[in-house]
Amino acid sequence: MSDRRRLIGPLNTIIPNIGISSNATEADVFKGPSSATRNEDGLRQFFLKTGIIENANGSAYLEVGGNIIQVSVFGPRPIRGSFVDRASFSVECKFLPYISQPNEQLYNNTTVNAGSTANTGPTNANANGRTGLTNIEQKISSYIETALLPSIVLEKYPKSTIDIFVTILSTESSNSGSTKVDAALLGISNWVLNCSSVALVDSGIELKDVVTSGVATLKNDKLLLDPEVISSGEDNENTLTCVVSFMNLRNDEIVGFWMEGDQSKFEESQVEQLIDGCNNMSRQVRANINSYFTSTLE
Amino acid sequence: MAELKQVSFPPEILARIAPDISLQRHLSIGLRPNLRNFTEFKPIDIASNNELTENNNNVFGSSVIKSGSTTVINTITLGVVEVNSSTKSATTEQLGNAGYTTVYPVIEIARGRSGAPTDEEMILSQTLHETLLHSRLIPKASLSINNYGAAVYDATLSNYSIYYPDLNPQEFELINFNHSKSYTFVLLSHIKIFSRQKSTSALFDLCHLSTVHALSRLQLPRVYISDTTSGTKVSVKSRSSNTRGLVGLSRSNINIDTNKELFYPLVLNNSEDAMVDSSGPFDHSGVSSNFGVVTVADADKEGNDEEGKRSILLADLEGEAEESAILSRLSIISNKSNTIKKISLINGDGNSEISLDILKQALEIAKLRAQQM
Amino acid sequence: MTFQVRTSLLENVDGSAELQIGNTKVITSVTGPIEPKARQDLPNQASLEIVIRPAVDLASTREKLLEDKLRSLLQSIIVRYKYPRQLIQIVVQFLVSDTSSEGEIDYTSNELNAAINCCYFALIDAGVALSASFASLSISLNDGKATYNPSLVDLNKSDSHHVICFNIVKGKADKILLLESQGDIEEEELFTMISNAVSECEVIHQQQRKFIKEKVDNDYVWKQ
Repeated sequence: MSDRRRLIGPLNTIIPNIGISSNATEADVFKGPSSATRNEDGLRQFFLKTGIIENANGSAYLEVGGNIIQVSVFGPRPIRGSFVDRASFSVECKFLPYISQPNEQLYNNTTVNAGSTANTGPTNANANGRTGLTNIEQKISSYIETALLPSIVLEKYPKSTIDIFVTILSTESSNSGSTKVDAALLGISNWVLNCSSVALVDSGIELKDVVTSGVATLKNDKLLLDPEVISSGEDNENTLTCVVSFMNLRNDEIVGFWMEGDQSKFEESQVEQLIDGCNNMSRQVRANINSYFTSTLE
Repeated sequence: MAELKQVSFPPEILARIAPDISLQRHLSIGLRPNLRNFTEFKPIDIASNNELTENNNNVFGSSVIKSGSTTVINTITLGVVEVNSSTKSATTEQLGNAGYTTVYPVIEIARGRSGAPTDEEMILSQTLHETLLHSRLIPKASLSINNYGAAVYDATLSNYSIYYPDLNPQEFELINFNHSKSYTFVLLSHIKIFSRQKSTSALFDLCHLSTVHALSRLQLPRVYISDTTSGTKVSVKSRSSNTRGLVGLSRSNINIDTNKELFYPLVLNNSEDAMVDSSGPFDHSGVSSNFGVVTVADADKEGNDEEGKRSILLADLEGEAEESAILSRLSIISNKSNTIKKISLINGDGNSEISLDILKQALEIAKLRAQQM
Repeated sequence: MTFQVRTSLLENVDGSAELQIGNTKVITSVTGPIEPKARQDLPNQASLEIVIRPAVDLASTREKLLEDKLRSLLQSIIVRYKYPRQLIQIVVQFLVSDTSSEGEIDYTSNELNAAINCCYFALIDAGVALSASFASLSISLNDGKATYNPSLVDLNKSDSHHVICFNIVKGKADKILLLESQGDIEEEELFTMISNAVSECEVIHQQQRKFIKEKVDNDYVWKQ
């Protein structure tokens, strides 16, 4: 089958699998920039810039570690059809087509070629031509939408739509293709949410509060905020990772909660630890965002 | 009886409701709405780092270009296609123009809505595809996969080893390997354009620049075949599948060797007789420039004809006023050795004619620009 | 350089023409001015809907590009202000074209040239107002030597290939309406080619005039 609207190569094109290295000494090294500096609270430094996309109402660009995220907000835009008393809100999150998505083995059903020992393959074979979202993109979009929805004053924009378009230009996901959900997916969701909040502020849409988010890992009772992606082979046993999003100035109301782990049972105290950790991180992020906006408005 | 009062609009509003009038007013006082000189091009920044290629093992060439607020991100990935062995033996000269191939680009302009490619995206992709083909930039021979290897499972070591006919000749001979098929690479490019402000012709210039730059940094890997006895995986298409459109790309047992030491650059057709000090990637391919011609009606100016009109050549169209009011357009690709690679001229306006003099002037400017790149 | 043309072949449209030039045969139909769709409606001009279908296979981005080039040409030459809020539909169907086999590259210049020349006759047959006559040429240059309406073999050996279209006023080529050049061209070569193309296009125009005079004589034979 070929797509009539795109140039996708000759009809019998095969996408080769990414195999192993013939150089036996070259280990399956995690590719990505070395860890960014961390301050005492455990939060990495991040780079933020708004207003870079001219044709969007609001935009933000965030770089932290190996993650590069760009968010554009379009809205309020008129919608056709009958009158609706509030704005409709949607989030679409897409990776650049050839960027390997975190945990794509697990969620995107990218197949493993048994002939190659490395378990990575490129994302969907039809990556160049797809219009739908992959499962991972769906998950992230859905989390962002759930978390941001309570913060927008939708009633102020009847018969309109507010759309957020997220493009992930780079991630830190390790290339080991492990089948356990690691910090990469939750980490990127965390930073996408923070970036989207900033873009919403830039767009001037009325908000009840700025949603910020934190991500933390609890491993053997040791809490680590903003965990960097650990390279493959690292033992993921007894790990709970979770991303929690808050509206800090509204009594730290939780607007989003996503936890992954491989323990068959976990204690309430562990969950509390994680939530507190994420809250700390989200407050840090909020402080940084506040100082960014106050400095750029001068 | 109501009196008619004259309504005046601030410049930004006028630019949207009456772009042609706004443009005329700017031009008659010697300005452009975007405040550039008539023949000045918008500056372009080309990112020198190679992060996208380094961080992703299925991206083999990439380029990030910024011009004003418009950002163009280009990633080149590879496909493999089987070729008829007989055509492989002919040399590039024997095949004539058929000895060259091109890139298959998919252009996506971020415009706040998702869906199928627009006409503009399709036209840009096809123009880029044809331009690179006819400019004879990529010889077919550069993409052919010679010496592909085989992966052999070593039970004692519990892993695979890869052997190539040229690098490991002795081990290779021991493998019972059917080496009869010939393969060649296919260059697939994906271009994402953020915050476009420019006209389509200016976007083409950026995409062309981006693609040539990415090609100059492209590194091709080695390829090996894994054994076919490892079991076939049959994918079952589920109802919830979102793989609309293209489904049929088959996975076979062709794999890319991620060993970076064996990567080799793509050999482009750089003409050896480009006598310049620093040979850059644009020596052969040339640099694309776009122009528009508009007629300004103003009396009492020298250089006008009897009706008081003069034709002005504007370089690098940008902005709503220029985009909608200028219908006579010119796109030129010119390279350092003063060869013209492509001209696309359309005289869309009865009033503004692209005369031969203006064409000559535009060619001069395009030439100078190519030399400066 | 000679072409064969027939008009008024199709019954359900306002105008049609079939043109054969070299290895390319194309049929064009023109319907209009007719009622536009709401999204196509322009307040003070006619809108153009141009569809190009290849000889073999389905339309793809290649035909999209040809449509864009043809549209930019026809937008200026058709007197659109004469038919405000109307639509003119032009469909170009290739019946025969040079198909390149595997390993050869695809040239669209002959097709574009045939489409432009055929549209001229179809528009006249439909009675759509044109601001001037126009004629186009497909040229390939090999070592400075020009070949008009080159075959696929000529194109494969050429240094560059071009499509040039002039508008004709009072029997003389007046200005360049469209120029598409690809390949390696030197500036002097280009201008020599353009000035030679002027006289060739005027010859084509003489053939156009002759055909149209005969056509009008035939169409109004009942008046005699």
